[in-house]
Amino acid sequence: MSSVMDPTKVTYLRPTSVAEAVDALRTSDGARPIAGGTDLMVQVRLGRRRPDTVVDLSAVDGLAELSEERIGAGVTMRRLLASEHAAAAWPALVEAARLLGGRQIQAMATVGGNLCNASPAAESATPLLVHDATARIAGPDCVRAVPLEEFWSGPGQTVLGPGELLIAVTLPATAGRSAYRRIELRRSVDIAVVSAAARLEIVDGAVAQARVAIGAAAPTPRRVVAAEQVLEGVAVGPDLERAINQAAVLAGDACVPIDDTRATARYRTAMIPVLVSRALAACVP
Amino acid sequence: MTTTTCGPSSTAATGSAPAVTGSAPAVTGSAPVAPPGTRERTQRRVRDGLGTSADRPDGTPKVTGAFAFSSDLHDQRMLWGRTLRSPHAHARIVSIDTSAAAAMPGVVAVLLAEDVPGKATFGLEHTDQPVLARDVVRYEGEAVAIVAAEHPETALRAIRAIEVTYEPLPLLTDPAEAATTDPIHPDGNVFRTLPLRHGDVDATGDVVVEGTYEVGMQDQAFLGPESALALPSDDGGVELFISTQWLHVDRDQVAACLALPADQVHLTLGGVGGAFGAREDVSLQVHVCLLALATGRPVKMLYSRAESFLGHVHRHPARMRYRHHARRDGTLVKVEAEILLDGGAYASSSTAVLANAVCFAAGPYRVEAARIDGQVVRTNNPPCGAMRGFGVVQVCFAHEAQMDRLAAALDMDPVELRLHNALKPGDAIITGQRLTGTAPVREVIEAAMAHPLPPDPREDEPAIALPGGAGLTARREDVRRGTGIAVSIKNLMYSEGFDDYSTARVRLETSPDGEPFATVHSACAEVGQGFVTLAQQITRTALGIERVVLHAADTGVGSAGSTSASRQTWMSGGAVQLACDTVHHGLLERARGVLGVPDEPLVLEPGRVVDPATGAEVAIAQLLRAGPLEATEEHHHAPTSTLDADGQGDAHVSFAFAAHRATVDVDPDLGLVRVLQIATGQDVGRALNPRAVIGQIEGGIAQGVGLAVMEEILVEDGLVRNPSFTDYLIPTALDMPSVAATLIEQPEPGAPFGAKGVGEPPTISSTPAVVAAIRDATGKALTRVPVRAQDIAFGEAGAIPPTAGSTSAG
Ligand SMILES: Cc1cc2nc3c(=O)[nH]c(=O)nc-3n(C[C@H](O)[C@H](O)[C@H](O)COP(=O)(O)OP(=O)(O)OC[C@H]3O[C@@H](n4cnc5c(N)ncnc54)[C@H](O)[C@@H]3O)c2cc1C
Repeated sequence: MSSVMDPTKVTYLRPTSVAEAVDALRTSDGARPIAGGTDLMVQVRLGRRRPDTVVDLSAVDGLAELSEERIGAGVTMRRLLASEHAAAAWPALVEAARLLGGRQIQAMATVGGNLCNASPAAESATPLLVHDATARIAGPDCVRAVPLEEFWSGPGQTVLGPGELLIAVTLPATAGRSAYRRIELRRSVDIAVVSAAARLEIVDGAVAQARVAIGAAAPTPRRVVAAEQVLEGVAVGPDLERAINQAAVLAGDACVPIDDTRATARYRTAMIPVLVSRALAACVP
Repeated sequence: MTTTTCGPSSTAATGSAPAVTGSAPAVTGSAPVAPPGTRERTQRRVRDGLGTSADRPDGTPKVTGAFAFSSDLHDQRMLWGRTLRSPHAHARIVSIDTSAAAAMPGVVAVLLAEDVPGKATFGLEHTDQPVLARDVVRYEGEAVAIVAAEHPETALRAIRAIEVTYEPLPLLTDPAEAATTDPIHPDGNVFRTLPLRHGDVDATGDVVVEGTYEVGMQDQAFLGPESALALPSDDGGVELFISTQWLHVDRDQVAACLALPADQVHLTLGGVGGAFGAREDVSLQVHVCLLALATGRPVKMLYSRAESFLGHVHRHPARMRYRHHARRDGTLVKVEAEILLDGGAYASSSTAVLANAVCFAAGPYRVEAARIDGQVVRTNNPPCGAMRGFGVVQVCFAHEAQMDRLAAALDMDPVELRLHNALKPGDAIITGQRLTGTAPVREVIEAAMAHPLPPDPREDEPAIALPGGAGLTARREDVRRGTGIAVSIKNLMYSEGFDDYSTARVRLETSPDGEPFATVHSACAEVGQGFVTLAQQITRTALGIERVVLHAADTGVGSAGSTSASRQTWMSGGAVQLACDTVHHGLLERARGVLGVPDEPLVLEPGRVVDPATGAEVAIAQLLRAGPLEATEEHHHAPTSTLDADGQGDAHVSFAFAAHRATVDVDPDLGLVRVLQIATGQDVGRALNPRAVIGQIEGGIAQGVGLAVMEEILVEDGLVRNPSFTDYLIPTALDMPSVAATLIEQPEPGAPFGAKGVGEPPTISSTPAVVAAIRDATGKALTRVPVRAQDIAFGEAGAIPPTAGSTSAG
């Protein structure tokens, strides 16, 4: 049976600083941050989450900051889509933001919410993985940094401890092209059946750095280091084409997908190589 | 973008003159239609009369958000009702403890099966479904208890506080096992078995193709969830505001279950947010009235989306085995089919759905012989009932796939094969019934094929134009294009001897400003199809006035029958016409008196009555000084008969035909499809409001495309796995193909204004056309809808040519 929050029993807090937000999260074991609410409110309606305290992050100072090496947790998909820097530096992320939900959802949905909701299909996850993002976490005691690939511990689960908050992801300046590809069963407003992001940095006609990440193919979004390794050092041309095919197969091997209402595990496993090879091909100038 | 093409607007009996392509959504209006039947008729045209694309009276409010849907119903004193539903698909109720719920502050009533004062069960054709389950639940979501509380959240907490102990029972979820499994209901597991034997059932053809086909469970997916407001009335009865398809059949079921006389149950239509068959059965009607009577207060109920998926019937899933026999020249000799429909836990309209599946199992083709065996059974799956296309959707998917297999086996063009066998006026369908009306099957096929194909793909197309859309995954060089055709026949109105009449009351009077206006009172449920527009158009044309007011649809006038079976233009349009005729006669009678010409044939013109012999005239307003003119008339269609033991009989009133040609782009590696275009020719009789007809065609195609490539309620062990619009996907604007439509206008004898119903045909053959196009692009067999990405990526090849062994020399 579905369930709703008991509105008479939910405490609503709206801190204005990170420190206050951390304190607010510690007022109750049942406290939950809310950013755009596009995941949280759906889950509350379905009875999957029953927070007794919601901590609205929208007024927290600095959380919506977007700069050349930093994306605040409160940055919305719409902000990313409007940013020239994002389009130039993180094309895969912008491609992913463009197909997250529809216009209204993009106006509300934040990067922090997308990452912290920890769906294996989270749109921004694989693009940020291929851009070597680091999660910046604020907690009761300190601020810590976690490589994004270590941020998730399972479907719906992150390494965030009690009272901890994702405040931003930081990205090193990366060169080369990146691309994002996903399979959706409907031409818009649908959740990824599987997704993949890739980045190739090509220096002097050979791959200097390669990144491959896959989504909705395992309990968490993940990088496929084995696939990256077969690409690095390979010269552009027929060799790279072969390496891309090899990388695609290795990415397929890295899948541990599930059967669900959208697709079978078999389909997901078969599609990952296709997505990875097409994403990689789009990264070759 | 939608390219709309309209057929010729003349009344010529052949309608397939070259179509004129217009730009979206421009529709060239047909010439206004003069209502037949009386010699004295409006000579000059009134504005927004019949045949024009008059605006919907509810169009602007719906677009601006001002329209009140039934979910907006409100009363200051109202309570909120809520339903406790079974989490099991089959279980015995061991005990129910309501004490905690009843003790909660703000909870006003908690009702169980024993609190139902009247008949314990309801149902459209067989009253086999309990108002509230007493001892056994037979599907997930079956209603067990209802509560009323001061606040919706309290109502929700109250149903969660009801403790029900269930003892799970063995599940019957495979329809193939239903007939031989222990009954899960006192009425047994078989709703209906219908054999049909036509012609020489032992005949064989030179070429035989066979196949098995499956159709998944589609949902009507209307956007306005079930909602209603019930108010106790002073006489001990109840007043119900409800979004429904048929007020009177709801009223009769509510009255029976409440043990009230019918005249103490008064229903008024609330704003309907889509129906498509899902509002033909009772959902919350009895519950909300029970709560209002038990509490003595107004009660509102509003289903959540998940509850809505569990709270209404769906389209019957089907398993079909077919064998087609033909001569070398393509002439159909015999069609054999076994059709099994899963009716789910309760009967709903299953028996009528099966009749349609069996009667139209061979499609719109002349067939010398047929042997069809149909059965619809009870299982612990969600109950199934009416949905746009009503039994014909399922068989059309199968017979059209068979026609393509046959064409391949004969090495014949699939369009040629269809034209060769197309029904013509005077031919009989497999029930032995002759087509006495129009049957432009050849014309609809030719019209669909005459539309230009969509332009070839361009290199510079944006990636979003490819299959997979925003996912950016498909590449132009991998994409293959395919086209497919399908044709359908659908009965209009109810069949098998049922007299689904309609009633209308028309009152003509003058307003305080002296202008004449008419009020139309009909219980016809406006569910989006446009009866409100049509009723005004008919009245304007028939009475020569512009101002037509619609009385709220309610049970204060006789039944209009259901808004289903593509029947309201014919049935309720006909009733409005009859009532207008009577008022019209009354006007002329008065005019003869005023003009002193007792025997002259007078003419009604906009605003006045004229004596053509002398030119003398009198204003309608003046004629109404003597008081209003009012008439109430019933409209009955020609009687039909039942089907005999061999499925033979003149069981249907009239038939409508449509052809669809689909063009798709497919990425075969990904299994993703983009439906680019549907070109269609549709037999409409007369287009009384061309824009409304195009609206029905586009909407029907959206639903047909949905069934072809995405829409399915997934049921596992009787449990619905995707009761949300996150997981039950329906096409968005981006998934909608462009539509090129030609209306074939051949007036149907016996139909008011010659108009046929137009709502269902677009849904029926668009699905098989899309799947045929995907087969054409991929060479995969695809014998099941919806076609899933994995069916294309991994599916077996083989629809074309047919699998080895299915072709045999006779
Ligand atoms: C119609 C619709 C379509 C959608 N389509 C897509 C899609 O295509 N792809 C996709 O990936 N998602 C999709 N989503 C899901 C959702 O919109 C995104 O995941 C979005 O980015 C979530 O962001 P939010 O700000 O709304 O998060 P919220 O709902 O506010 O929060 C999500 C979760 O993260 C936690 N949280 C939020 N911010 C922080 C923080 N700074 N620190 C710690 N925890 C935090 C919350 O407590 C909550 O558990 C869709 C949702 C809807 C309703």
